[in-house]
Amino acid sequence: MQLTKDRLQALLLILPAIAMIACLFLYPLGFSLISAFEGEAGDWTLENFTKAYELYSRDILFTVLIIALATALIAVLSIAIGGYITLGEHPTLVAILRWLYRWPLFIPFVVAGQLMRTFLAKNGMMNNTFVSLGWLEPLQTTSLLDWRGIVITFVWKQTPFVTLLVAGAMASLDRATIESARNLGAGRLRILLEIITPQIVPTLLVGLILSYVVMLSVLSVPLMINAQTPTMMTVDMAWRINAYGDYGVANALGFISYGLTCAIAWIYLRQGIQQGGAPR
Amino acid sequence: MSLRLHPLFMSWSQRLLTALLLGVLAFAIFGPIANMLLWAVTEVWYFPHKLPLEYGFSFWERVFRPQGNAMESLLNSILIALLTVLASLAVSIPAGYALGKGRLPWRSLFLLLFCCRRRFQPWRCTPISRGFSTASD
Repeated sequence: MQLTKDRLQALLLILPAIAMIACLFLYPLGFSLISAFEGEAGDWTLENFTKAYELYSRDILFTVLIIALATALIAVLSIAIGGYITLGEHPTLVAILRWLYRWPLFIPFVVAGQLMRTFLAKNGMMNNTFVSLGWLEPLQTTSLLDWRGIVITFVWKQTPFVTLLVAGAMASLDRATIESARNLGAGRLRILLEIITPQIVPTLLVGLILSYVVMLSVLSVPLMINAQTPTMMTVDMAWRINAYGDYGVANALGFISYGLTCAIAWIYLRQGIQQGGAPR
Repeated sequence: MSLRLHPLFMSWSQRLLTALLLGVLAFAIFGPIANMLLWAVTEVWYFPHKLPLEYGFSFWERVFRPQGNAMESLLNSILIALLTVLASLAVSIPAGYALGKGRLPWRSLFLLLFCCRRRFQPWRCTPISRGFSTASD
């Protein structure tokens, strides 16, 4: 009797959260998935997908390439920064780096887009600094406000997040293996790449997957930095809805975007199962 | 490189290289932020000048003047953020307790449901939850 009461109580406690997920997540998700296959007359059709492919196949490819490149750069930078924090021998320099790298973490995407729009422009602060230092002639400066701007903004914003996870994982590693490799004469770069990095791959993957999903869904950055063709899928979705009221094609694009996320989510879940538990 | 030196004996070239890299990183991180701060207090700034020609608060005046609705938007943003935090705490504390401590039937199913949501951003559920998508997206 007591057992049933406990279970009932637990169910009651979790009920509001479940209701919220059902109303605000599952229902709109199902709705948008279904309406991706709905024609204008309410019939079942693949029309929205053919239209999305005809109009936006370049943007879909562009989105995938930009996000893949940004994710790869984030991986390299976070391993480098985390590695220096773990292996760096000069305490002051390590402390400076530790203090420095976190700043963009507290800046929302829309503000990051705004910052980069003036910073990376043809006559923006970056080019001005390079010209002042004599690295560039004023006539050589180019605007970086195209795909490069989007990649730079994503890397700028997401690297601190992944580094935070990676550096934490590196700090909790067993120092003994590192010290013994050092005693056997391994250089720092070799220790980082062959001993530390393989051990933190699960954490790195989780960080990268979370950033991948976030970057896939950001609208403000591509909108502010590069809204011409080719641009990212989120811009096209907003355009279909705001300019044409065309939810069908927008939902088809959303469906494709789910597909891209699901492929990655599958890796994430498999990772969790391999570790013998729910993904963190 | 194979010899491990005491920090004090780290070679000058090595120290210089590290400091240089840190400088580049600092420029990459603080450059954009400094750029925004400068623009916020700029009155006149045009090519080819590297720094603003006149400083002032006219942009601020424009934002906070009574007929601009920036104050209202700002208050709304703060209100929405606070209410969101409160509402999600109210929902997630009992759920977390039930998941962690209670004897919950179908525990793993519920856990999966909660995890699912993190993978799909609200923006993707276009028609209905558009209004609920977070501001930073």
